[in-house]
Amino acid sequence: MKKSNKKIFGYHLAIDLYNCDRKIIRSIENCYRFLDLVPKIIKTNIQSPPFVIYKRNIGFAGWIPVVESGISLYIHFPTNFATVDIYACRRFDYNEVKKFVIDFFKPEKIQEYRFLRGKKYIHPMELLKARGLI
Amino acid sequence: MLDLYDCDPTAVGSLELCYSYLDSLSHILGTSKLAPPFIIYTDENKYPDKAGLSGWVAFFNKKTKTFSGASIHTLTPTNFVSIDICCGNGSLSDLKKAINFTLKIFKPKKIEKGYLKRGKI
Repeated sequence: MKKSNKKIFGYHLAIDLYNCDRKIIRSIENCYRFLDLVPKIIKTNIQSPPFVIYKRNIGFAGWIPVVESGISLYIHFPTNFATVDIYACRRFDYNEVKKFVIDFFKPEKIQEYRFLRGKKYIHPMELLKARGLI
Repeated sequence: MLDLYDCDPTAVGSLELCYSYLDSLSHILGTSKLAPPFIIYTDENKYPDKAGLSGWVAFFNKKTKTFSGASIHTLTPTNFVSIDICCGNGSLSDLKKAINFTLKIFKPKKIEKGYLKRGKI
């Protein structure tokens, strides 16, 4: 039987955090620090410092690009709600990251979702082989 | 969540097109941009198998007073594009419009779609 050259492209962890610690989520410094720390935990390479946008009385929106994809964060002040997406094209420990996120924002409740992305992805080297180029 | 395979190579590697794509999404989704899109090239000398672009744009929905956003990650060696669109108003018809717009721009031969309702509690 012909061996498949397909592999998973990426791993995506999405977490919705309810009733987070009010003080923590209202600090732009914390949001920046969070985005700065996650790439280290999932052992990815950052492409730039984090971007964080603030809107008065509403919240923050932030993103950090990593070579292996990206991490985004949205915070809503009126409801103390935060939503986090961690997506990387390398395997990472979902539970370790989840624990870090919970310890950081201290929510009362969470909902998490785990996805495999690019399930039909073919690695560049495999693609070249398949095309008879190497 | 959209994973697009065998996309148009000229689109996958075009900073101008990927920027315009992110820039146009807010209009299609009926929301506002918080700021212009951010977009960067991945260093192809350092990471040849991951060469491409990464970008993000943040939205603000005036009705719900919430943030959301869209991100894109392209890989030129394999013409693969991975996109996440988070739409604050939760309108399925707007999301469909955004998907059709995405397909028109990147012309993938194969796609994988995922849909998720966030913040349900």
